[in-house]
Amino acid sequence: MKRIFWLSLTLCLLTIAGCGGSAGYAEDDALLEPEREDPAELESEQTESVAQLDAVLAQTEPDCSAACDLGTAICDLSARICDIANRHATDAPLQDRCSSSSERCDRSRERIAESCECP
Amino acid sequence: MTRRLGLALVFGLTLAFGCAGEASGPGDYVRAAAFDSREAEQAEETGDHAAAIVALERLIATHVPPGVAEDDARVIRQDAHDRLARARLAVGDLDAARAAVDAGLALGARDDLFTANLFTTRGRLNEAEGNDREAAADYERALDIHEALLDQALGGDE
Repeated sequence: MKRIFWLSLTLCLLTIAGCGGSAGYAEDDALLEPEREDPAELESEQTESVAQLDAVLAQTEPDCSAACDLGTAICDLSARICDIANRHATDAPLQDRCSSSSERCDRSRERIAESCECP
Repeated sequence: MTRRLGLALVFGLTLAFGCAGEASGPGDYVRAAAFDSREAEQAEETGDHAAAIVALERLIATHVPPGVAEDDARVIRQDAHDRLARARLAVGDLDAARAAVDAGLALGARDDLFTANLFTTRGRLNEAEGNDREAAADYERALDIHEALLDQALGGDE
């Protein structure tokens, strides 16, 4: 009986020591799983995330009221340039200015129409 | 952004930041400028160019006190110079119109509506004087600025 008692006690003590010991292992830094990423990598990831956030925040809805006004102004200016060019049919630079400005008027209208509906 | 909205924003922001704790200075300047601008606008709407000229010249002559942001002062004054030039042009005073436009542009050209308007008005002035090639060049400069502003309004670079 005495032998069984001491054996049981020894087993209990060993079990308790094992439980306490495992906690001790967890606190041993040398046995912790090492970090999967180093600070430089983490910083790089953070920089990229910030840049993506900035890009999202920078996206704005088109200002259609302003766009429509600007489109009108662009085409009015083109019309004025071409009126002048029409008075100087043989003036090549003026003719070029008229052609170029007309193209820019057309292009502006197309761009605006993609995003906005102007009155 | 239209000229009116742009000016309203400038007046509002300058009043908001300029009024704090001061009995005179930026707040008084902006209030006076807004009053003169409104008076000129009402005169322009009724075709009273003479009254518009008086109000705009008064606005331009008002000293800009310390505390008014340089760019805000530029915008207010460039707008006034442009409208003065157009009023002078309307009454046939081409020399005075040119002086007003030149004074407005001398405040500094920017890619904004106020500078674009000055180029457009100078174009009209050049046309009135028979300087067609110069007029076309001015209109093209104004068009360049409007295109850049359109890029911003549509929210992207192309």
